[in-house]
Amino acid sequence: MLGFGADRLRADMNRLLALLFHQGVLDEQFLQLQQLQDETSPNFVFEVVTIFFRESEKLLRNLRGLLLDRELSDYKKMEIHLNQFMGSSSSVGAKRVRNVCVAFRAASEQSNRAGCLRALELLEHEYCYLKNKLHELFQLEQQRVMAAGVRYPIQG
Amino acid sequence: MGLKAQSHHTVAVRLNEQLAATHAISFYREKRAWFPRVLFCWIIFMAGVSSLIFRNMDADNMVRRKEVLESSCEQRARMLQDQFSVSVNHVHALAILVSTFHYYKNPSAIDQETFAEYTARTAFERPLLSGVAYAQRVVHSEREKFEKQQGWTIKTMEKEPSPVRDEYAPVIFSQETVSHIESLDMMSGEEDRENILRARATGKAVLTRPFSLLKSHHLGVVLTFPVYRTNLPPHATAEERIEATTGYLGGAFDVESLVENLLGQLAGKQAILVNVYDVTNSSDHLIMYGPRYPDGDMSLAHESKLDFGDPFRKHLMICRYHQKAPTSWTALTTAFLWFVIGVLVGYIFYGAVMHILKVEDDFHEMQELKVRAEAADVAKSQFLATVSHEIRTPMNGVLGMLGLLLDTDLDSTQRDYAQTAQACGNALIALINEVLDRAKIEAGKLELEAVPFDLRSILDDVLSLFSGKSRQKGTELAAFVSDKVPKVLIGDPGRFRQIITNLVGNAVKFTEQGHIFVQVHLAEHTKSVMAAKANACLKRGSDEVEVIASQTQFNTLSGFQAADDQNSWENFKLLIADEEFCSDASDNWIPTGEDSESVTLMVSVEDTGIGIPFQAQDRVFMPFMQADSSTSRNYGGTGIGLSISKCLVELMGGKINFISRPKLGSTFTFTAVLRCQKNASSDLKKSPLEAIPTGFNGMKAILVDGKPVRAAVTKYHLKRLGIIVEDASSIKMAIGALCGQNGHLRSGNGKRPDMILVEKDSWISSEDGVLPIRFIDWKQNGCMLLPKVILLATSISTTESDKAKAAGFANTVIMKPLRVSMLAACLQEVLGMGKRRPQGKEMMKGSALHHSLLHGKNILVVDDNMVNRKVAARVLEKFGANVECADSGKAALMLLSLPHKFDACFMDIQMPEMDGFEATRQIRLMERKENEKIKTREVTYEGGSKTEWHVPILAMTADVIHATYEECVKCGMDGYVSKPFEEENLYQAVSKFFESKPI
Repeated sequence: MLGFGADRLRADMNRLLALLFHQGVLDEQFLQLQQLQDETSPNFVFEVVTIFFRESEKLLRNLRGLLLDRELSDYKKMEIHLNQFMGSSSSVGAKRVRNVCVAFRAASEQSNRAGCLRALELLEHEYCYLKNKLHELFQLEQQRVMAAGVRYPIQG
Repeated sequence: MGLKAQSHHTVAVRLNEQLAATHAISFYREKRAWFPRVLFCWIIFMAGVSSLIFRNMDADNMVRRKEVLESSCEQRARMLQDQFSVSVNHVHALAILVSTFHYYKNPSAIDQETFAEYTARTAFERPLLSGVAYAQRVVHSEREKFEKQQGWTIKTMEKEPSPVRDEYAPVIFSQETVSHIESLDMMSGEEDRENILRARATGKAVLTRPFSLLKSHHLGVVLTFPVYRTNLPPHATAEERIEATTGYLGGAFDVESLVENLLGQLAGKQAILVNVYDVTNSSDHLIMYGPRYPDGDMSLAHESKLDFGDPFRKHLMICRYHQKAPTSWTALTTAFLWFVIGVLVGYIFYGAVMHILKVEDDFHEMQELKVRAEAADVAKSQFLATVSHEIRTPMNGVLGMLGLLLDTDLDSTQRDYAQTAQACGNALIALINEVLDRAKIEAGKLELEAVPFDLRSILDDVLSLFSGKSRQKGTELAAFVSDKVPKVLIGDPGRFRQIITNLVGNAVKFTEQGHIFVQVHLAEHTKSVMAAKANACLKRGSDEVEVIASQTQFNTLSGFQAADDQNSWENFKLLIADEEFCSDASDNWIPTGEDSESVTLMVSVEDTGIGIPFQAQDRVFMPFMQADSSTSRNYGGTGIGLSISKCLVELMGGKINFISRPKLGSTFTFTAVLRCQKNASSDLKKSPLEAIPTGFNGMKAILVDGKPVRAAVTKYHLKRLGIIVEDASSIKMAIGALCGQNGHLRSGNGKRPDMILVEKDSWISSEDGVLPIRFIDWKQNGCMLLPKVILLATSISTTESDKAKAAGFANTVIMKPLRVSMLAACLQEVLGMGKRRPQGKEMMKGSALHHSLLHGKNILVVDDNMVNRKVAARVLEKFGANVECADSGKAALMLLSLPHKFDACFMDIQMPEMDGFEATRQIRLMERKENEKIKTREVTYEGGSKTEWHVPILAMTADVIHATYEECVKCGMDGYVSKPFEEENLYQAVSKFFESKPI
């Protein structure tokens, strides 16, 4: 029963992943990330994504602050933040977040404040979506590991 | 992303240029609007000028006309006046005649008859007078006496008997022309009376106002002279004169006919109208001559005064032109011509300016179009490059996943599917790489490296790449490099390999039987040999050529006929013979002179495939063009490879061309200019895998091969190993040579051959058993130093190999194509001298290679982005490296301060504070300082092995196409890997640095 649960959980995970790929939320870089995870670092993906969330939230906060704080926004600084965001999102394979970053950067290059604000909204939305989905994924993963963990002693 | 940013930038620049251009154009357009106005103004101006000219000329004409009128008028007036005064004088003379002969003589000497005759005969003197008459003054008291005396009564003008008056003036003498007035009382006519009274008072000739004459009814005037009884004193008073008056002499001027006569004598009488007026009463001009209401040209008239000798009467002559002034055609024509000339000149200028403007406009338009076209071209190339790159990234993912999938447990069908998918993916990646290459070349972004490399090993690599395929097809694949070609050349080995790979790939693809033969010679050398051969050919004559042509077996590598007979044995022999002659010198090829820096190689790839149809030969090098572009063609491929090869060859300063004969095969030949290394092979990083073992130096071999070209190729490879080779065309000959040596020592190299290499064809064609028996004999004789007998084959079946073994061949069959490493390995095995099997590249596969490459290495990852850092570190760790991280350029500098333990450093380029370029520059600076110290022995490291610090620094960047690579190199980086990490990329970048340090 429990083993069956683990399998089902794995299927759920795969379905979720497939959905995310299909929606273009994630790309193959995420798969590569998963490939990097093995016995020596079993929580690699989780760690990286957690760092990504932490960094991203900081960056989003900064971006919002920059855009709302003053009348004349500091576009230079914004671009640096966006480059950072793009780098980290492409590393985890968050494709849609990265694409929004590209648009955001284009808007900030043109000093288009309205465009920047729109892009920020979109970015926050995409980010939240990604975060929720990844959390869901990790929860499934956790459950699966637990289920598998329960199974081992039985088999053993 | 950086790429996109850059293309944005370039597009912006182009836009600016375009804006500037449009500015210029609008300026011209503004100006252009003015030109018609200027032209219009000019035409108006010219019209003004020409009308001015016309008026000027017309005014001149008018002045002249006026002058003419004046002079002619004056002339007429004077003539009239002169004639008139002549007549008056004559009448005066008549008056004196009358007074003299009628009154002073007694009895009178004049009667009517005399008078009439005299006047008639002197009439020519008075052309203006129609006639003259004399009237006597008769007072009323004397009337009766006078009437009686004369015999007629005094009548009035109306021919009636005169009424009673104070005095009368009846005509007593008259010229015949006016005889009708005889006996008429002149005093009865008003004009005459007035005249008479005035004349006798003044004593001078007086004139009447013009009136209609009695008979002719012409206008006329009457001239009256008084005749006095006595000679009067000059200042006599009027009363005295009246008292002394006895008669009056009168004459009638028929002015009208007279003037007519007069004018008739003058030229141009029709042109000028003449009016004569009596202007005594200034308010009422009495007309004497001419029409009452004059027509003709009223605008111009001239008045001339006439003096007819009567101070009381004033006369005036007015002349007019009969016709209005004719329009002056000359003036009009001149003015019009001026106008036309002016307009034409203006139009010519206008036309010229408009043409210039149009040309300028066109020019600007063309320029704009050019800029656009160029921009579009660059954009296309950039797009291609970008898209190719973008496709490559996910494709790498796909391939990686497929690779992983293949590692898992799969049943054979699944494995087959996955392998097919992987092969397709690989083909796609290869195509994308080609497109990317092409785009890079078009965008001018491809730059050739200049690093030392060994051409021969590259050829070996290429052959090994295609060995599988060629073996499958049973075609022979061989490479030959002339000894004259320097060992170490400087150029771009990657690109060189790409060209050769492409050509050989094509050759293999299109060849079903026969051979593929790659040759490399020096271009100058080939030329000179060919020239010599051509001379020889001419001498030999034609019969021998025919003999060669009729041979069924051709003297090529495999015996099949090739498209270009340049490579047949005849030529090849010459080339090689020349080489052997100076082979010692060519080993340490020392360049002399200026040119020697660069060498021109001539590479030819000959195949005996299907050839290229003649109609397709001229578009072979066009991208995406294929000889057979039908959908049902036999051979796949994109057709981009040759065009890339052509570009690359041109980049290398050479040319590519080919000779192809359908059904016979093709020979592609290209030249490339490379530089040669002066201190040969000192710097070349040779991987141990390709290092040529030196253990064979000085060994001897006998080669049995019926085909000289193939023998030459085999000899070339053996020579590279340092083995001295002797030829034998058949096994018998070889054995003969061996026996001879066996018996007695041959002079020179008395060494026994260490091996005999037998070509499979020669073995099969020779009688079975002959060779083996002898060998077996020797073996039984216990000869210790028996040469090993080795079979060379392109392909061999198991039965054949069993047979070979049975026949006494050593275990190894050396499979063609020959490669030095493979040959060495086989020989080592056969001779039993190999301690260690040389590791072929084939042994290392996939990530195992990567593991071994990076295993145990200390690597520093510098990236400010935590996520990236983590991922990069993990990837490297997975390859077995020990990874340390730094989050900024400064931290990296700290960690890399000398001495350090790192073998390599991966550096992000975009970092705040200190970016990757800056950090690298500082690291390199630090290393340079330290290296100086080492040189001057200020610092020594343990073991003394460390002679130079140079940690390989690889840039990590998301942007692989544009200037980044140059920038990387400029600031001292050794290469770059694209982000996110791809296994293949990482391997390529890293292999450069770790290949030389084997595990």
